[in-house]
Amino acid sequence: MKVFLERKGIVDIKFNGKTVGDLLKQLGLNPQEVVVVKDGDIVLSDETVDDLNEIKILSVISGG
Amino acid sequence: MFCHCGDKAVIETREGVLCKKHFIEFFERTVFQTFETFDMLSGVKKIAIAVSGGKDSTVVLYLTKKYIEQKKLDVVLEALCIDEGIKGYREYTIRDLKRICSQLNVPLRIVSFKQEFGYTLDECLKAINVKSCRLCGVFRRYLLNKYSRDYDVILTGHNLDDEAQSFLMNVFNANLDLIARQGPITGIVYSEDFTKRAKPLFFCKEKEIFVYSLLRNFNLRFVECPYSSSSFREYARNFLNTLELERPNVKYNLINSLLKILPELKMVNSKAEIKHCRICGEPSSRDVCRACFYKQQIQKYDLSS
Repeated sequence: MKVFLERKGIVDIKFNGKTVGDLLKQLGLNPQEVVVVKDGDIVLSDETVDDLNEIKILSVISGG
Repeated sequence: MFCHCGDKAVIETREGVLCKKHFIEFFERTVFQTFETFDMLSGVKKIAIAVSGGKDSTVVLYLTKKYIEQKKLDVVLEALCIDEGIKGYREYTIRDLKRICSQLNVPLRIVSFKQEFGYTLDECLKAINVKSCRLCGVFRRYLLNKYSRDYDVILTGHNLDDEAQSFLMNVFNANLDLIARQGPITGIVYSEDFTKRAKPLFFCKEKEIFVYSLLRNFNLRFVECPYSSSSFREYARNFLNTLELERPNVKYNLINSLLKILPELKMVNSKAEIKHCRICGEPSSRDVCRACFYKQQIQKYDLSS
């Protein structure tokens, strides 16, 4: 599964779960610190995701 | 998850999960109530927004303008940016900032470390051994204070996460006098030397501000300050965000605790004497202000190298 991660760019991972929450857990990301965009829409942790979706994980934290 | 209206939710807030429409309403209500609860704009004729091109100050700029227009306030609104001269970072945020100010039709003034002190932050850090965020903070506060005197109030983009982190860091460092300077309205001692500083995003979480800026399509690029990873603040941020996962509302509780002890802390610290720096004449608690002290150190290095 291809995921866009801020700071890293596009990464290819073997996703074992079903939801955004599972994905963040697998990537070791704190939901407080990121926003997940699925096919252009902001989604929450219960949203299901798969290989067909375009997933972007954006960092909430300011760069300053 | 779904909002109470039945639409798909975009964020979890202290009022539950909310859709785009209800989140925007919640967020704007929070900021406008903060303006009013803390009298941030009462009797004010000229407002400066301390801007950087990042999401926080952009949201303050946008919502202050919206509030002024809604309330039909007869005030002047301007944006003030401090350019530290951090290569690979500030030049990009300033590009976004110029675009946003132009879109909102707000005049922008940029003051730089280079023009004021003779050196960019990058150059300063090559010359003296001091923590980047400390030096940057001293110079930034100095310039903001100096160039905000023409205004009745200066609004900054500090958010709930910033305040909770600062509170924790000041507790860890036993800096009670610095805690006394925190809060939605900054400072302890009233003086004509200081322009009132206020924080309209005091009750807004960093994530809420980020989502709001996405939903409003501000199109701000993601760039990181190359010095940010070395800061103590990052430890405080990680600690609080990890704790917040286990115990939601920890950050709200922390700033509510701060608000409860703040009046007494301000009272205890209100007798601080304001002197003036014998070099530049700016207000300072010392004979020579920290900005002039660091500037002298840098100049010494510059002359000897």
